[in-house]
Amino acid sequence: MNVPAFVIFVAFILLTLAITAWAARRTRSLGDFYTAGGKVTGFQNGLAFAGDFLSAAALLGVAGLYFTAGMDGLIYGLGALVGCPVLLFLLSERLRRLGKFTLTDVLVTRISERPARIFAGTANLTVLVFYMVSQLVGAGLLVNLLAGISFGWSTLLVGTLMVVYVFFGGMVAATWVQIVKAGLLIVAAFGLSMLVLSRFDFNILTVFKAAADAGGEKVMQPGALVTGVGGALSLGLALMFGPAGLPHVLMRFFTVPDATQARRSALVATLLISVFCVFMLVIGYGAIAILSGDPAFVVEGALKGGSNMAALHLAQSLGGDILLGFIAAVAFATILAVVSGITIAAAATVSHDLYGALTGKEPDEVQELKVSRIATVAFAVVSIALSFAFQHENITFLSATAFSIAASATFPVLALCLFWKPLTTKGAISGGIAGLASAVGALILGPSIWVAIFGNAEAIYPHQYPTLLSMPLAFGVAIVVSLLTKQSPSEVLHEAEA
Amino acid sequence: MKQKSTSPGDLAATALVTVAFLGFLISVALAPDALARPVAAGQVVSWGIIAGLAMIALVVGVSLAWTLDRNRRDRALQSRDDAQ
Repeated sequence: MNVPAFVIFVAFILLTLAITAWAARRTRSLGDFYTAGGKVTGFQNGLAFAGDFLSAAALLGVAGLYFTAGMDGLIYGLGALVGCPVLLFLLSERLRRLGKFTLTDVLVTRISERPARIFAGTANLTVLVFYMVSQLVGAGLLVNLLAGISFGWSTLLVGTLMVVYVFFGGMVAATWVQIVKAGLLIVAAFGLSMLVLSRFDFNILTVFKAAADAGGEKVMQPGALVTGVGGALSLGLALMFGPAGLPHVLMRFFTVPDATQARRSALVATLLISVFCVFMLVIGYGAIAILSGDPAFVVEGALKGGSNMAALHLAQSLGGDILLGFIAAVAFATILAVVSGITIAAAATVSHDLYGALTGKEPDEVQELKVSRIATVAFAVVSIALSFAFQHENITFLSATAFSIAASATFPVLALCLFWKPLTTKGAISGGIAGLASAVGALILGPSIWVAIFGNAEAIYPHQYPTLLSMPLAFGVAIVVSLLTKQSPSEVLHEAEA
Repeated sequence: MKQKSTSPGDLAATALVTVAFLGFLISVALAPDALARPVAAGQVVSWGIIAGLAMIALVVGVSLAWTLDRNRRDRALQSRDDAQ
């Protein structure tokens, strides 16, 4: 066991628990639990936003991709950034003006309530489970490395902590853990990239040169991960439009007081993430340059502990156990913060959307809070169980999978609700279901599950991500069905603000 | 301070970033050799790295421009409201 690393790590967990205890005293109403009472400022929310985007995949997964695939790491690194403009330009102000707690509250301004809640609830839970699994796999690896305990116990530990944060602290705790973590993550990436540069006379060209010497010309060349126009478009659509369908990201727009603050928070997030992308470029090529020839970290051309370990090995190589401990603690905090956000969104989905719509009863506040806390525990149990099946996948691929489902199911319905007047309830729901079903279907029949997990020789759907098929299908079905059906005015509860 | 729900500027800014990123990915898929080429003889930095950095710069530029424009418009609306 790595003692300094472990101490830093435990200190961080204590800090986040202190934040939760503080937040728990401030969580009195349902509005506090879901959206921190709408009292977060634009800048704070921007940090929390950036925190949601910069998951474990952004640090560990992307550094690993740089190491194994060179320039393709940059393509995936951009993934966290290219989703921001869609949120900023299209959604930030509009959602804040329309919404209350969840995405579904926005949908019911245009389509009838019960089908909207059932559809959005199902789609949200599907997306959230996939995203959650990617984070838990990352967490399992980290704790496994730091404390030497097994993957199973590690994910269980993370799951338990997450339930504690969410159960007691709600959105206030999740937001503040996210803010602290986003700050730490950006500081950590800055520090690590400065340490890399200090090895190479603070000249980025020298870093590139050393990386090319160590890893060959191919590290500067694209193409190992992105092949074929279909695959490229599927990935691009998932990365750009997926975040706009992620329920825990969309909920952030409801934690600020008004539309101007919502806009500001999306801009702050965009700027922070773009700086982070540049740091990751330095860290990625630094990892190639520094780790490649080192037998302590690389055995037969592969990273010890798998491709997700590049950033951690680099930290140990540059700053010893203490830096390793710091980076690992930050990465772990990242995961905790992101999973807390995801879990709140899942709890809100179950209690706020599904429970009432399925039972036909309108729960009161006390009841709804109770249901959401039960949902928190149930969601944790399911995701921990699933994370075992996916524990050997690169976590960047796993989170891009969640993005691809979000881009195919929730985003098309949300976008049409906001921008297309003729949309009808039947159109929205059938389009959303078509997108969700085809996305999940193509994923199961695609290379990551059909071949990698079920062991079949050839994938039935050729691309890693389903978006190229499922996203246009969702829009197409929604539009065609809307044009064939008529919306009866009584179906809709509220009129959309014009 | 009500705005129309569909503003052409919002869609144009989104379209610009979308086309740029999808174009970048398609060129990676179709012409990896062109992006693999060094920017100058004797250099290791490839056009692909430059394209990736340009993508970051584009997102930052468009986001800043859009937000500044929005803020200016809101202030103009605000001062008109105040004058009335």
